[in-house]
Amino acid sequence: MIQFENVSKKYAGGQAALQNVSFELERGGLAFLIGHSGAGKSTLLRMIMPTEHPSSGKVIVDGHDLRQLSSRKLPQYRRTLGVVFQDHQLLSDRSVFDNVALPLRVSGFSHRDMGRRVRAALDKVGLLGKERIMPGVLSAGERQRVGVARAVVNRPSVLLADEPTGNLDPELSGEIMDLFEQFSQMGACVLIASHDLALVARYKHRLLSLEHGRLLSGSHLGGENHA
Amino acid sequence: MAAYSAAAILVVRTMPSPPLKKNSYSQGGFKHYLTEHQQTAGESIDQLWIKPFGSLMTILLIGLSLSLPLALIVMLENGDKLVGSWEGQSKVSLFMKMDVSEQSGLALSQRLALRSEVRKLRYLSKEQSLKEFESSSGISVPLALLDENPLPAVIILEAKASSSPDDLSRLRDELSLLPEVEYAQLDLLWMKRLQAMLQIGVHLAQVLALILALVVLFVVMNTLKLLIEHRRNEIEITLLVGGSHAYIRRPFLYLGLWYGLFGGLLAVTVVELLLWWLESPVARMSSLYDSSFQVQSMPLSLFFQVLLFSSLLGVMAAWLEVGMHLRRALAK
Repeated sequence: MIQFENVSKKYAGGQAALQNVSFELERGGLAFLIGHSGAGKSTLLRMIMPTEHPSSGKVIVDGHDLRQLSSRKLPQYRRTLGVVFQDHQLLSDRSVFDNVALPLRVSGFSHRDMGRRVRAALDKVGLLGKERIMPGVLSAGERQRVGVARAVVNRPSVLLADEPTGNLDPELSGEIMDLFEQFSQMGACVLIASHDLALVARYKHRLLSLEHGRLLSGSHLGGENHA
Repeated sequence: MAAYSAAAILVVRTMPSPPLKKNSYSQGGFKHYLTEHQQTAGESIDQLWIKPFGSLMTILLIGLSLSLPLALIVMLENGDKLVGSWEGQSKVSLFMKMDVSEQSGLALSQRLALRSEVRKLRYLSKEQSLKEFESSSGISVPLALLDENPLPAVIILEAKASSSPDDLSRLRDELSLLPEVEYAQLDLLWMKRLQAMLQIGVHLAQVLALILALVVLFVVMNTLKLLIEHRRNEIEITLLVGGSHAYIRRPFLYLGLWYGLFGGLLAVTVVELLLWWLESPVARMSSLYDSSFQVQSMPLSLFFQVLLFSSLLGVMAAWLEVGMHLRRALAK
């Protein structure tokens, strides 16, 4: 489903964000992307979105070489992705409903289907009944859950999450992780970047550990090898 | 967090995600596509009210920029009509020599009246010429102070409408050779000159319209540039969740359309007000020249042309500006 083939990324100053990264994540697979700040986690996710392209190597998602994706096909491809951003990336002048409905709106869903899907997604993250509220009056945790609802509302085949539990308490973090697990069980490919090792350790999923842009071959957490 | 509702999970499970190759509006159909357009059009009108002063300034700038060439075009069209209305009344005035008697003058006029080019003829004796001068100028000439009436007798020939300017010129040349005639004047000449000047005016108006259209284009582009900057985050998020360029462009195209349309409406309003304001002075002036000419209002076709042109300018400006922004976003 997601394939990285010898992917390297060098920025203009010569700084290497990723070095020769190769891995494959199957449909229905869930993996944690771990590593310190600046290890290249966000860069790797951005290459799947794709808001960045590799300096060398290939990123293939669902059979599509992302570099070859035309600008006409790019929006269609992005509609198959769900992305949870670290900083929520919500529209502050739109209600919770409108924020969550955005991926459906751009995909051309009817208002009736949009309403059903949005309410279902908000129910999943425990925000049903807050559709009309503006994001500004929500807590950081609630805003993060709106971001999660928006990411899953279109039932994506690939779900990317950049520090999705950064602003959540342990209980909520666990529930969001459970939600991601459910999605992977439904056939979505889920890749979660996190530096919350305690949380990651609670789930027995594949670990992709990045260090200075390199993917370590085997990763261990709490003495358990998940790679 | 509330427990997940089984129904909610079922809804999400059973609904398919859109495949990569389907078109954007396969989910809701064409009707939904139209509804989306309707909604976006309405939202973009609301957008004008978010910053009413800024929107008003932009519309004023567009309206006033367009009203200048439009006013010129309408004035020139009026001038053209005026010349046209006079053209059918082309006259040749024959000023008699001072020593030509009234009898000889009348005899000449009778001879000339038989010519095929002449539609109507009027003989003004010296005395009648003086009276006409006094009535048209409002100046009373005290003959007691003068040795004699200084004005000559005049024969005014009105040519047939079918006579071409060349025919009239030839007639004037021929009649000027008559022994009784001191000077023959073709009144058409100054109208031809005026018409030539009006043609120059039309060209100037076209150039001015082009320059001011560019001004309008840049004004709308600059206004939208600020708005795009303000909504940069929204655009980026929309692109990330799969918004197509057409989807991103749409609200700005409608906004450009509204700016252009309202600017165009303002321009035609300004010009119509100007015509209304000029109506009575022009009517007064026309009456002094024995003309029934009245200022013509803007034709309906021109009204719609202006609205179409200004709306297209707004849409074009929006297209260019959003296109530049999207290219920059893609380049990043």
